[in-house]
Amino acid sequence: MAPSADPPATTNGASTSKEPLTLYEVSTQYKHWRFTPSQLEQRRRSMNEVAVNAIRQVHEAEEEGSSSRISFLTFEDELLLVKQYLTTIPKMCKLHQFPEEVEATAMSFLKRFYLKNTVMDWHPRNVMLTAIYLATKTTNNPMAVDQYVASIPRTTPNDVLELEFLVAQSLNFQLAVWGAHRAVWGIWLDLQTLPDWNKNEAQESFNLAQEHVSASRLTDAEFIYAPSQIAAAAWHLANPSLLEKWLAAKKESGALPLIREIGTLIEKEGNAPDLAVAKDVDARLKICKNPEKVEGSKAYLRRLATEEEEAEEKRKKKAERAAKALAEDPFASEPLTGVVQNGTKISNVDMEDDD
Amino acid sequence: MNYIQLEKLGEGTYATVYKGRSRATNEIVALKEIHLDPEEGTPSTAIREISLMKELNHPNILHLYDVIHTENKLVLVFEYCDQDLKRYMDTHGVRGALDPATVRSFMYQLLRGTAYCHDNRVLHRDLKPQNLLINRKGELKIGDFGLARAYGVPVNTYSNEVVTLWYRAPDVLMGSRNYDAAIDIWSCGCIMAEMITGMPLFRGRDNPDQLLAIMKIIGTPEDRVIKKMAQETPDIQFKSYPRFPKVPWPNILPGASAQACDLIDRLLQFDPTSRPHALDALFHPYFTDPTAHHPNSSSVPQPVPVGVMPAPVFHVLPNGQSVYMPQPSNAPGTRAAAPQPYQYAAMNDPSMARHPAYPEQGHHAAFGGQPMHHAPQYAQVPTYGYGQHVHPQSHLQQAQPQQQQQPQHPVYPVAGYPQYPGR
Repeated sequence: MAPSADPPATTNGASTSKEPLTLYEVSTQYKHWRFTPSQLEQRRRSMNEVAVNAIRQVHEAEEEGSSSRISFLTFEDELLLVKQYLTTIPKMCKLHQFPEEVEATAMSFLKRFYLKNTVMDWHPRNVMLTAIYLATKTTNNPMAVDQYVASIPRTTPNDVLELEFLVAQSLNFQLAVWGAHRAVWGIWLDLQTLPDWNKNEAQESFNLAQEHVSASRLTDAEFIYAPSQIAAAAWHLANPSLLEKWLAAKKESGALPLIREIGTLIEKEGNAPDLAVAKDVDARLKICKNPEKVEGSKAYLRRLATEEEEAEEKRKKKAERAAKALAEDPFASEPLTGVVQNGTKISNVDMEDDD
Repeated sequence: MNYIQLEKLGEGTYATVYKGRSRATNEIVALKEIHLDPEEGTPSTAIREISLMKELNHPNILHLYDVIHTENKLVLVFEYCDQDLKRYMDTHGVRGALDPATVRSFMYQLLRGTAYCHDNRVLHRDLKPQNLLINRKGELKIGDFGLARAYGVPVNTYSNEVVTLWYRAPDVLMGSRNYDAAIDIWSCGCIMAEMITGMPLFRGRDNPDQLLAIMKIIGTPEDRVIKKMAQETPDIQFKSYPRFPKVPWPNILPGASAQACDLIDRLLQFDPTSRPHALDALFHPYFTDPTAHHPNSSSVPQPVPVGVMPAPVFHVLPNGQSVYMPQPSNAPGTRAAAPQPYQYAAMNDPSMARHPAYPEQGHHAAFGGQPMHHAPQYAQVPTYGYGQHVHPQSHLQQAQPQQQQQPQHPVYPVAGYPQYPGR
């Protein structure tokens, strides 16, 4: 499925007052990657339907009635499989000793990618590897691709690089991610200014809060809530009384119901899925994935042929256009102004992707 | 792709830049074509540039319109600017030196763009004239964020090989990898001096030589200062350096006003914690004093080539602050833009208003100035000329009947403005 444009961002909670915007509020994350829970479900459900219908047609074109034998994935199945691969990102990052920022960013990338694509088109395993690799570049922890794939079994550099454009484009090149882990650190610094601050107690809670924030990355929390709210929820799960003291000091006790709501979400959704179920989904995916995306299959070759035909057609048209322009315009072969600048003659190079 | 590629504009380490024209709107753009690297695919510098530029949106930051990728290349579509500051100085300056009004306009825009970056937790790390682009309206845009990076609360361990040598801050030269926004401020100071004289201020051959070049001008700091820096940044080793006295700025920058010298002195502080924030620097009297460099003042030479860049006009706000206002160019062939009043007024800029140190009245306390309640009449403006350094507010202190003002001795540093207290 081709990446589509973002819907207009919802502005729930956007202030209409003249208050200056916070950094978070001018970020692309705030503008383009926030949804309500029902919007998320709607999006995933309709994307799944579109994909299933399209794949069904491909199968039918090959052999009538064949698609009825296939058990397609539901959007819940898809979500579960993505979550399974989300849980492998921290392991991969530990393996490569990447900092937490890479882990958080890669997990956001993977979740965002599957708001625009379906696992039946792109299997999450390679998308995950690419998401991590892209996250290392975004967060300034670059690594040569050979070195990166060396410790990953059955993976070539090409597996990672060939999806890079696709992933970056699905993310609309909005690569800067605000993770809740930074806000957890911020609250930690802030807590130290409280008058009755107990270092040992707080240190323990800080470690716990970090675990809760890791768990929150398996959920949709980042699409629904602000990073600071998620961080507060993680601290609240770790040490309710300490966070409530902090809220009171900040005169933000009114946020408590919201923080409890996020805490419930983290506790309910922030667990790895049942591996057996995930394996079952993966097995079904082998059969129902889009044959046009399986290299070497009949449908794949047919798609390539169609694309080649279209490109040929486009090239022909362009050549005709150019010939016509040349015939009509006696100066067409001359550069526009006939000037040589910077040692390079002005050329009318065409950069259409059919070159 | 919906752009026609025109002539090549330049070649960088990881990209080639072409002029381009939109098929749809005929708008001229700059196309930055990224070379793909077999080792890492899209270079991480390009990825970082994209991720930062997507978040930044400011009149003094080069605007990234679009990212396009085709089968085998990635193209960033930027707004087009005619030339960079280096070329601008070469073509429009007198042996590279720009006139005071232009320097002030560019410095205001540079610091404003830098303040915006820092406000968004982005360090540029490579500010230099080649990375500052000037369009035909005389607007300055910070470009080339390839080396920039986002910074958060804990700042640590960046590469110390970042800023091009001549614009590199002494703390970075001494090995600091813990630097923050202050390294961009240093570069701004170097650029300002270069605009005034036409020559790069500190021209070292290598790291140690660059440090010496700096000390030969701003003087070797006291051991106490270096000890303090070593204490604050573990990467800096305490060392004894050859002792050089500080050279007075008017000797280095002949013709610069006392305010210009004072601002440069503050930007080029050896100790990074003594350098002002970019936003604070915007409230320096060099910018806020409406009497300085006013183009109506007949004694200011106006070497701006006719029709190339309109002389910036500074308008006086009711509170006495003066703001830069772009003027339509009357040059043949240039598109006249409608004047945009107060486009550069800090007080109308939400990102400025957000600064906690910025009080409602728009006058910053860091430089100790009092808001002026009445815009002074231009008749009261003391004559201003090269080599004359006049206390910026001396005309306010004069009693009205006093008509003739004696040229004063150079007053430097500007009295009455306390040194920046440090952060």
